[in-house]
Formats: sequence, structure tokens, C-alpha cells
Amino acid sequence: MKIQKVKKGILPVLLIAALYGIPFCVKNQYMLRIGVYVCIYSILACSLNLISGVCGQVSMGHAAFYGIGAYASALVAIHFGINWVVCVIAAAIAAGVIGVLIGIPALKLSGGYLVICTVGFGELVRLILLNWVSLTRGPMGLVNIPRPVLFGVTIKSGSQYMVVALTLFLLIYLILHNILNSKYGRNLKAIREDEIAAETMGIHVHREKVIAFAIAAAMAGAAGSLLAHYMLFISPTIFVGDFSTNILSMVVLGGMGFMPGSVIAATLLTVIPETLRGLDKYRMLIYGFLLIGLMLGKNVSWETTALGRWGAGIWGKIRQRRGLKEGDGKV
Amino acid sequence: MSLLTVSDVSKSFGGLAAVSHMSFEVETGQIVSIIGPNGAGKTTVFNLLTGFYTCDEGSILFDGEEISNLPPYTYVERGLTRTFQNLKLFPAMTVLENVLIGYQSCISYGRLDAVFHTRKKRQAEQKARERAMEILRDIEMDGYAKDRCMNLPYGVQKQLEIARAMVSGPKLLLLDEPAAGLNPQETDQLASFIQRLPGKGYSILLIEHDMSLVMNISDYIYVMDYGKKIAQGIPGEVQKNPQVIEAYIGKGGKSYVAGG
Ligand SMILES: Nc1ncnc2c1ncn2[C@@H]1O[C@H](COP(=O)(O)OP(=O)(O)OP(=O)(O)O)[C@@H](O)[C@H]1O
Ligand SMILES: [Mg+2]
Repeated sequence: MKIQKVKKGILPVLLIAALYGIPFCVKNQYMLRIGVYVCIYSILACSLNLISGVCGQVSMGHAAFYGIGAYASALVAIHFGINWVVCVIAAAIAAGVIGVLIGIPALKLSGGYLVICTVGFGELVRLILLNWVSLTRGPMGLVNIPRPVLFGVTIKSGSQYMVVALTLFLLIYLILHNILNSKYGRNLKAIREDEIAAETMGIHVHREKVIAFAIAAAMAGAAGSLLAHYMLFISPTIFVGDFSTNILSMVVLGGMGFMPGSVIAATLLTVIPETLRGLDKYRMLIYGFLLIGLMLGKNVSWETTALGRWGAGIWGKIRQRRGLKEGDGKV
Repeated sequence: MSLLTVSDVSKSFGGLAAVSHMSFEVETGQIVSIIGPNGAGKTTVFNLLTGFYTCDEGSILFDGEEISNLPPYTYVERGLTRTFQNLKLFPAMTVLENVLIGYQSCISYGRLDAVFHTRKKRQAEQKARERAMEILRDIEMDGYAKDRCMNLPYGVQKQLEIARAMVSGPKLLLLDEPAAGLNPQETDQLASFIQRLPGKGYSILLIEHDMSLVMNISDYIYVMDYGKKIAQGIPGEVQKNPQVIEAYIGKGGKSYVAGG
């Protein structure tokens, strides 16, 4: 029993150690930069996966929460000069609160109506960021965002920032993992599968949706903070609808409801365009196809997507080797 | 006092009176059936009982408390659960997960326990799994525990839906056509299964078109037609009631209700 417990813990530990090895081994600034973006986009994809993949409430406004978090964090840091950790929390709270406010009415809608509503919300936030010049400096964006200072160390180098981004990502991933492996995560899945049956089983469907939406929004807000204090400059052009589509593509590619898939897809969709910069213009074409896939695959679980099946096969083999019961710890 | 007392409940959709002035009772430990031709309003009664529709008038007392027009998610905690005429499982989830959702109102730990994966959470989950497996063993479905329920045969899915409704230990179980789509052998199994439920502390309100099933296991029967209660009584009485025969096969027909 004990040995099995140790065995069970060993793979994630090795994986995490390997991930932390990256910023220490890689010295190429360009690659570290991609590493930071992979962390940020993984947070975005995983958080969107909670509400859209696990709970089935497709949102196309996730970039708005990312933007709200980035601006909130940057403004707090610029005007009050508070420690970055507080800024991240402020960003998460700002995005989370707005997530609740928009989620309460929007999540009364379902399917296409919800999608359109979230698109509208995303556009609204972008326009506010663009036009509330006295606060956001509009199209000029916010500049001179302070670098994070942690334990007296200013996070300056690419490798330092990668450690910070990775830590925040792992923390958020762990939270999501724990939620999914609890009755609350199971209830979200039930809502995706059949709302009426879920309601009959005593699940307050609307409340659970709003809470999941707020958690996802807060996590996206934290990702925004991570971006703001890395770029040191943010402007409304980053947080556009196209980028929401981009995040959703990651969730779809990785498999709706499957968290490791979101991370893999976020990595692929960040690394591939970088390595194939010349083909960059085909990215939107690929997203187009993916979105069509989403519509066709509505209510289809992650295991039926190509990457999901591939992932499930490997996952199954790993589990078999380790002699684990299937089903425990499963997303 | 009765476990469930429905008095003078009505519901109309536009001009259509789906249920009008319906009254009936279920005593603790009874199997009570509602029968009637297609469109009689039986499922509508279930939807009124579980908060999916609001009553236009009338009252519903359950365990001495008024329960009409509450939000649907509040009924489980009061001890009232149901199944659906058109199977409503969580298809992509496993059999075990389906039952765990049925049990979720009894799994008590907070969101923070979930996030921090506390001992309280782990113990509660462990207990819930044991309880879910127990109920699956009860209906000899434990072998399916890890299968996705969309891959199961229809009869097994129907059984699972009952298990999911039972696992939280409700006082009253509403079954909407549990035998629909089952073969005769499965129907017999179902009959004896339902018959054993009162002994385990469940009272049953049953909607069913399979007359032999209804006549065999019901303690009391209410007959509906066009939203109204047209007859009530023990099976023997209802079978012979001319109004019931007429409702089912029209005037002058022979009793297929009685045929069983
Ligand atoms: N949501 C609704 N909106 C409009 N009409 C409805 C609604 N629900 C039910 N009805 C109508 O109410 C009447 C009673 O329907 P109900 O489903 O209760 O019948 P039933 O007795 O369960 O029939 P069956 O044996 O076919 O299941 C039908 O005429 C039906 O069309
Ligand atoms: Mg019906």
C-alpha cells in the first residue's frame, strides 16, 4: 500500500523536476521566452477547459479575463507599488468578481446563445480597455510595469521568470486537478452531460456553473498578471477576440475536459507557430477547422478526439505498468 | 399521515389542461401506480412533484411539508428522487460516477477541502465509493462499475438510472415507465426488484404502461385520462372499472386492462 503510494507519486515528481530543470539548463533567451508563454497559455487553456470542457459551457471571451487580470495587476503595481504576489491575487480577484457578475446572467443561456454572449463580453472589455483612456491610457497601453520582486530578488532574467511562471502554472494545475477529482468536479461533468438529471440529483446547476466560470476567470486573471509583469508593457490589442478563439482551440485540440491535453495543446500551439513562423498565416485556417470540429463534437468527450485517444492510450499503458486501478485520479 | 399528499393540483400549457384537479396519496411503504393512456398527464404530475413545472393551483405535502414549486435541486435532500421516461443518464461518465452523482447530496465536504485534497475529502470520497459499490452489488451491476454507461445495453442503463435515484436513500422514489423497452424477462426481474423496495424503506410512485406489472405489484392505483383522475382503487377494482376500460380502448371494447 505504502509502496504503491510512493510509486504513484513518483512520475509527477520526476515530471515537475524535469520542468524545473528547463530554466536552469536552457540558456537561450528566445527559448525561455517561449517557455514562459507556454506556462501562461497553459494556465489559460486549463482554466477555460474547466468551464468549457469539463462543464460544457463554451466561452469565447476568455481573453477578456486575461486582459482584466493584466490591467488590474499592472495598475495596482504602478500606482501602489505593492509586491507582485499581491498584484497576482488582485488580478485573480478582479477577474473572478467580474466573472461572477457576467456569469450570473450569461450562464442562464446555453449553447450558441452563451457563445455569442461571451463574444460580446470580450468585445466590451476590449473597448473599455481601449477607450477608458484616463485609466488604461487607451491604445498607447500601459508602460513601465514593475518587474516582480520575490524574497528581495528582482525577477529579471528569462530563467528566473520561467521559474516564477512555472510555479504559478503548477499551482493552478494542482488546484484544477484537485477540483476535478472531487465531487465538485464530478458535478460539473454531470452538468455537461445532462443538466436536468444533474438538477434532479440535487446539483444547483446555475450556481455551480457560475462558480466554475469565476474560478476559470480568476485563473485567467492570474495569467494576465504573469504576462503584464513579463512584457512590462500591455495594450488592448493583446486581449482581442481572436486570442479567445486561440485559447479555445487549445482546449478543443487537447480534448474537452482533459487537462493534460490542454497543456500539450497549449505547448504545441505555441511552439509550432514559432518553429514554422513562415506558415504563420495558416494558423487561423487551422483554428477554423478545429472550431468546426468542436461543433461536430459537441457533447463528445475528450477520449474521442484524436489527441485525447492517443493520450488515453499512453496514459492507460502507464497506469497498467504501474498497476493502478483505472478510474482513480482520472479527470 | 400520508408520506405524500397531492391535493387538487392543476397545470395547463396554454389552453391545454395537462393536469386538472388531481388528488392522490402515497402512504409510507406502499407501491402506488399512476396509469392512463398516452398524453394523460402522468409525466406532468412527476414534473410538478419535482419542481420542473410550477403548479397553477393546488398543494403538495411531502412528509408534512409543502413542497410545490421549489427549485428542482432541493428535492433530493427532502428524500424525493425520480427517474425519467426517456433515460437521462450521464452518458460519457462511468457507471460508478453516475451513482456517485446520485449520492452527491450525501457527500459532505467543502470546496476548500476539495482544493486542498484534505483527509476529510479523501475519507468522504472513499465512503461514497463504498456506498455506491454497495448499491451496484445490490443490483448485480458492480461488474460494470468502470464502464461508460453509454456503452451499456439499454436494460442495464434503465437499471442504473434506478440505482442512481436510490443511492441517496430517498423516502419516495418516482419511477417513470421503468419497464418501457425491456423484454419480458427483464420486466419480470424489474417487478420483483421493485416489489422488494418497500421492505428496504423506499416508498414507490410508479408510472407504467405494462398492465401486468402494474396489477401485480401495486398496492393502489390511480387512473388518469385527459389530465383528470378518472378512477382509483386496488388493482382488482381498477381492472373492472368500466371507465378505465373505456379510456384505454374506447366504448364497447373488451378489457385489455383486465387481461394483464
Ligand atoms: N412542457 C410542455 N409544454 C406543452 N405541453 C406539454 C408540456 N409537457 C406536457 N405537455 C402536454 O401535456 C399532456 C400530458 O403530457 P404527459 O407527458 O404528462 O403525458 P403522459 O401521461 O406522461 O403520456 P405518456 O404515457 O405518453 O408518457 C400532453 O398533451 C403533452 O403534450
Ligand atoms: Mg409520460
